[in-house]
Amino acid sequence: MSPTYDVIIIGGGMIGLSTAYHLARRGARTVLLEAGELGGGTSAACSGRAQTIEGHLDPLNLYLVRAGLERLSTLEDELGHAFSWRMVGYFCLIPSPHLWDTWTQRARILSENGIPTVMVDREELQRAEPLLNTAGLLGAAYGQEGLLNPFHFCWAYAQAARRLGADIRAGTPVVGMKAAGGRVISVETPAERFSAGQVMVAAGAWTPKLLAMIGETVPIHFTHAEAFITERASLALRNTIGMADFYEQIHGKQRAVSVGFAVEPDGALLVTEAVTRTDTIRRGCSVWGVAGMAAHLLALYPGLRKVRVLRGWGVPTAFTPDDEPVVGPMPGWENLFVYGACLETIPTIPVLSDWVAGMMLGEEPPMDLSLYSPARFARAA
Amino acid sequence: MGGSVGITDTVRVVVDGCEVEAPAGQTIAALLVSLGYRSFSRSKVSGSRRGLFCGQGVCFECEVTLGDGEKVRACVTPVEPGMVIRTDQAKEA
Amino acid sequence: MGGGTRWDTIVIGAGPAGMSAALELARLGLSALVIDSAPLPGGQYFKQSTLRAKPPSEEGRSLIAAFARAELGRLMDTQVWGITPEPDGFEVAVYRKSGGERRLWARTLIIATGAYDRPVPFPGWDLPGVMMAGGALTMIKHQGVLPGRRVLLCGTGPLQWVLARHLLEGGAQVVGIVDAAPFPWKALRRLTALMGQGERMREGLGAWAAILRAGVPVHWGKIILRAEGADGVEKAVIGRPDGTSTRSFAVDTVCLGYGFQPFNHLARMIGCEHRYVAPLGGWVPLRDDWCETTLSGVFVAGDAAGIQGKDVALLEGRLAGWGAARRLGVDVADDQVKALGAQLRRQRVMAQFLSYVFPYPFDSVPFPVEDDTILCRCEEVRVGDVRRIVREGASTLRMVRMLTRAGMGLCQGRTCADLVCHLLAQETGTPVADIAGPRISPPLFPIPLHGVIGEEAHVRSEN
Repeated sequence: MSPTYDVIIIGGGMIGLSTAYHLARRGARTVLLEAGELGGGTSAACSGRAQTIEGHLDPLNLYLVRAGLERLSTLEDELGHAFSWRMVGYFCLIPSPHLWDTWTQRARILSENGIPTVMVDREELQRAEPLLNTAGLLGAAYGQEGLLNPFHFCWAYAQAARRLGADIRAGTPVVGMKAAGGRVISVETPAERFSAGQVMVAAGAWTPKLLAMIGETVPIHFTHAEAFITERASLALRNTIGMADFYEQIHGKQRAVSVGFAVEPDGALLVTEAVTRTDTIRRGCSVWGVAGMAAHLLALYPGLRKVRVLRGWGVPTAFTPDDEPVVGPMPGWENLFVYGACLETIPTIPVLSDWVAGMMLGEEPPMDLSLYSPARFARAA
Repeated sequence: MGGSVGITDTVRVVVDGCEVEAPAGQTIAALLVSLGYRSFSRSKVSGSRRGLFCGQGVCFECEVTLGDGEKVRACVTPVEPGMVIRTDQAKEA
Repeated sequence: MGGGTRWDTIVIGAGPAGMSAALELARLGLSALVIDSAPLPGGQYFKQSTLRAKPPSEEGRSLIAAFARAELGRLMDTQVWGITPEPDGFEVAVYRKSGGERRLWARTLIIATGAYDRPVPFPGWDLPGVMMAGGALTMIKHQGVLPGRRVLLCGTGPLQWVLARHLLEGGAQVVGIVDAAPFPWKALRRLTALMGQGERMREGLGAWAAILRAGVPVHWGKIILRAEGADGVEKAVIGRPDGTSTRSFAVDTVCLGYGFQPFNHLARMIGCEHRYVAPLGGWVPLRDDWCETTLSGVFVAGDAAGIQGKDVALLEGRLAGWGAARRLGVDVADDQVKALGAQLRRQRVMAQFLSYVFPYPFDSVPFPVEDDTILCRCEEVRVGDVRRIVREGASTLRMVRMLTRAGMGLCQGRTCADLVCHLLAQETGTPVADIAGPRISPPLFPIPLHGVIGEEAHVRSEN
């Protein structure tokens, strides 16, 4: 049975959907299978930040962020659907001298590479953020980054992909896969069996479960991450805020909070992030998470005390042992790609997904992606 | 009105800048309606006027702002002496 | 977990079901704490006026008095916003404006959160002057203030008759009572037979005297079609669901009495399995004979488990109390259980009969909406916005919410979720029962940032 589709993408978050779009643009017959809602997993839970200054400083990532941001600036027009794209200031708050030093170096490298980043001392920070309680802070690193609505971002890619002929299917779980001799033969949903051309698994935290169907593994781990949104806050907050010690606070802990927030177009605050180490994929947030984020937020912005928490949520967020994305063909397989666990997903995927789509159809990506290759885990082992 | 009993306790509150005597324990919503308010708040999106809708504390459309900046649902909040109440609009006859 | 009392049971809701449950627990020597967000116990059915001048109402008086006397913890004006399951119990997060403990702990939970009026969308329903019948009844009956002067009542069933009577006694003009049900010819005999049983029926049919005396016209088989006006409703149009046989009324108030829906949000939030039962008002928890849900140690009683009225709530409360007691190692005599079971069956049959005679009409006819009719009131999402998204391929409530913001407002979707479900069902041809509601996470209600923080001054990370 010859395949109806050149490419089967498993996973309908922003990674899978953007790739489907780029495949459809290239004329590849593409089907995307999403078990739940399009963008309804980790994509729906993120704050919509197109981070610029927090990621890895390797040339690949820096290029992707710069190019991605440029692509994002016209992407709403390109995809024909608005997703509240805007640029805002980002203050990465620095609570310790060693982080100040680290960030001073980072700021220099970022600025030299086209991502202007400045160090702001405590006084200057206080002037820029009058409502912030700067006690205990040395200052902040400041850069410009993007913000968008992740639901509409996913929908924009989905609709554009559909218009170009991609078959995008929500509510369609993959319940089985068959493989033999280093080839994925077929992908099964409850109603149908798809004969495989190329197969990409872009299912975030669900990726290992899917790969296990064909006896394959990749070290994509996940934590459970919680966030909440407030009512429209009447205070004039605009900049995105985060903590420079995010990884120190979170790393190795069973559960921890590192607070940050982004300001929604209507003035609501989208507050992140309470993280729990876990082996189980689950949804929803906890009293602990909401309370923890609130406590940290009020320590920074005591004037917000009367603003009401409206809605919390929680999802698994995927990461790899070296915190680099997994992108590329699975070693030992003819037709199997994996794409996920990105650190700065939103700013990079407008370009990265374009490259990945090309890769799947035999194109050479414009830059060497071996840093992201799944093969690196086999190499390391 | 039906149900009232002779002399009632009253408390003094301020509604949109006007001092008013309200029956002790009356909900802010009942007070505002008795003062002739048909709507207390506005839609957060279009600003169009909204009146009492569910009257039960579910819809949040009857929110008024108290002196300390706190927003409360008028329909489930009894008045207290000295309360300062601000609605989103002027009184309608 | 912190210090503080460890209760045998926390009862959430101090209405007839909650109070009954608590009284049984107290009687059996167990420690129970009752929490309610209202200033006074009574729930909706036995609502007590906050007006100091009002005499205590007759309804539920002895129950409320017993509740006040019993050896129980009582926390009024306290909002439960989250629950954390623990190895041998539950931690309940609460917010109280005046302060106090923020985390409470119990081995078992009885959820008796009741119900709320069921909204119905139509053009102009967002105009000031359009309100729920229950809210209007509270205003006139418990606060002594007329919600309006020229009032049209649209809905179905006995609540409207009770409201009409109070409005008339208060001096309002009731220009009409519009019942979606056809005149209950066949049910008439049974209805009058029921008159002697159940306080609610007595009250409802007793209201007819006032209605007939005042000559209020009653229209059967009709629904509200639209409301019109500038700054508030001035005109209401009713008619058959197909839009024929219309009539207009000059009004300043329209009261909607289309039934109730369970306040199931707390039980759903903590993960009790629910299923959709239309005659019970929507999503109701799966329960065993003791009112225990699919979560061990969690019980739901009263209207939160399905709209069956005050008499069922009173009985279920007792049953849930016994269920919790059994979980805690205290048994109840078999004959007591049997006797209550028999009463409960009778009352449930009556409740079912009422919901059969006066069903929620929009389970079988579409809402009388147009594309520019508001569907989500908080975020002003219109029917047309939802229809467009559905045409573009969104088929779940969650997708509609994500893309239109319906349900993302201050009311946390309590007003519109069921409406969106019904609209989705119509637009996609899927049964309402197959349309899942979105996940509910804490906070259950909007809570100020300072109010969600626990007792500890810091929230440190844990290894």
